[in-house]
Amino acid sequence: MDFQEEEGASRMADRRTFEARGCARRLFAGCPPNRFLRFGALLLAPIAWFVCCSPPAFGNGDFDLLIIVSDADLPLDWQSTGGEIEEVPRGTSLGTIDLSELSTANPGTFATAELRIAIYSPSGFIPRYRIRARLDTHSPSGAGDVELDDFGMGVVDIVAVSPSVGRIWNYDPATVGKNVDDEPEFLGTLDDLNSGLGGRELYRTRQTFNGAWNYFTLVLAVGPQFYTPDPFYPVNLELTLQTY
Amino acid sequence: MKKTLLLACAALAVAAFADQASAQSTGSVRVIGAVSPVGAIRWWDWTPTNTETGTNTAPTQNAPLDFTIDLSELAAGLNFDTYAGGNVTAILRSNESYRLFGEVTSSTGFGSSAAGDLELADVGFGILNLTNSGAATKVFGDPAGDASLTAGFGNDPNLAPKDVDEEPLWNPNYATLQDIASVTQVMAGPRISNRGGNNSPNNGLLVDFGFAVGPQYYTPVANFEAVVEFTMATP
Repeated sequence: MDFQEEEGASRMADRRTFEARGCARRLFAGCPPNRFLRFGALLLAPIAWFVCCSPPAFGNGDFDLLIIVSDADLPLDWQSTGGEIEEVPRGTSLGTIDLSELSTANPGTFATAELRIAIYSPSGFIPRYRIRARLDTHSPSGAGDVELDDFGMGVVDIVAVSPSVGRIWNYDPATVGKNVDDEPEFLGTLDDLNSGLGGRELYRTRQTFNGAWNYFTLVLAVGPQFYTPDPFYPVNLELTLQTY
Repeated sequence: MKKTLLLACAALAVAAFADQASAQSTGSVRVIGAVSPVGAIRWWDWTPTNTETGTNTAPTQNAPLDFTIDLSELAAGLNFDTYAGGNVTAILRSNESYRLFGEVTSSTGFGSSAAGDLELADVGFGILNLTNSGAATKVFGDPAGDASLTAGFGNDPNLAPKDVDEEPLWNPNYATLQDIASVTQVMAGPRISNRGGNNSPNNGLLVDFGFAVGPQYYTPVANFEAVVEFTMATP
C-alpha cells in the first residue's frame, strides 16, 4: 500500500462526512407540517445522523492480517512501525502452527505453539473492529483420536485500544490445569469454532486506534495423551477481521 | 406521508451504503501435528512374599520403573520360607497393540549348578494379576482380558511346586531368568489406553512381575545381582 492510496482513503472519508451533514439538513428542511409526519421525520433524523457521521470506514483491501515472523523480529516497542515489520509477507496465508508430537512421547506438559498476528492499516488509524475465527476444514474423529476439543485456544498479548476478548478465549491454554486423567481443562477449544456458520468472535475493539498496527497472539495447546496414532489431519482456521 | 416514506428510503439507502463500506480481511492458519505410536512402563506398587524389601528409585506411582528387590538371605539353613521373592506391580500404557520383551541385561554373583552356585535358572519369573487399572474408564476395550502371555511366563513363581530335594519344579509351567537371558517376548496385547496421560489411574494395564527363589544350600556368595530390563514395542 503506497502513500497515494492512503491519501485517497482520507479524502473519501471527508466527503462522506460532508454528505452526511447535507442529508441531515434536508431532513429538517423538508419536514411536513403534519404532527404525525413531523414526529416520523424527527425519529429518522438521529438514525441518519448516526449512520452518516460514524467514524469513516474503508473499502475492502484497506486492512490486512499479517503474520509477524517471530517475536524476536518484533521491534522492542510494538506500537512503533519498525522496518522489520514492513518486510513480512502479507496475504491470506498467515502461517502454520506446528504442534509437533501430541502423543505421550512428548515429555512436555503441553504441546503448544503461538502465532503473533498483526493488523495493519495503511491509512494510519484503525477503526473499531472484531476478529472472528472459524474452522474451514476438519475431519471427524474416531474412538481414541485426538479431537477438536483437545486443542485449547486463547488470545493473549493484544495491542489495541480497549480490546474486549471473548470469555472463553481470554486465557493462555498452555497454563491450564489437568484432571486426574491428565486431560487439560481448557476454556475455549477449536471445537467451539465448529458451531455456527460464521464462527466465533475472538475479540473486538471499541474505539478507533490512532496508529497503523495492532497485534494479538493466538495460542494453541494440546495435552499429550495416548491418542490413536492415526495420520494427523491438518486443521485450517480462518480468521476474519471485520470493522463495524 | 409520501415525503416521510422518501425520507425513510433515503435513510435506509445511506445505512446500506455504510454497511458496504465496512472492511473485511481474512487469513487462514494451518494447524498441524503428529501422534506417534507410544508405550510406557511405569512403577505402581510392590508386594513382598515374606519380609523382603524393595524400593523404586522414585517412590511414587507412575514414576519410571527402576525397582530393586532385596531377597536378602537365600541359604536354606538361615531362611526357612518356601520362597524368597515378591511381585513388582507395573502399569503399562500404549496407544497401539504392543509386545513386551524381557532381558537380563547384566548379572553378577551367579554361577553354575555343577559348582553348587546360585544360577539364573534358580530365579523364577512370571507375569500375573493382569488388571485394567482404576475405574478402567480410559482403557481401550479389555486389555487385561485380551493380553496373551508367552508360554511359561503366566504363572506365579512363588507358587511353584518343589521336588523331593526342595528344588522348585520350574519346567514346563514356570519361567526363570535363564529364559530371558537374551531379549525374549514375554507378553503381547492390543491397544491399552484410550487417551489420557501418563498420570491417569484409569488408562493402564496393571501387571505383576513375580520373582521367587527357593532357599537352598547354595555356595555362599556375598552379593548377587541381576538386572532385568523390560521393553514395550509397538508392532
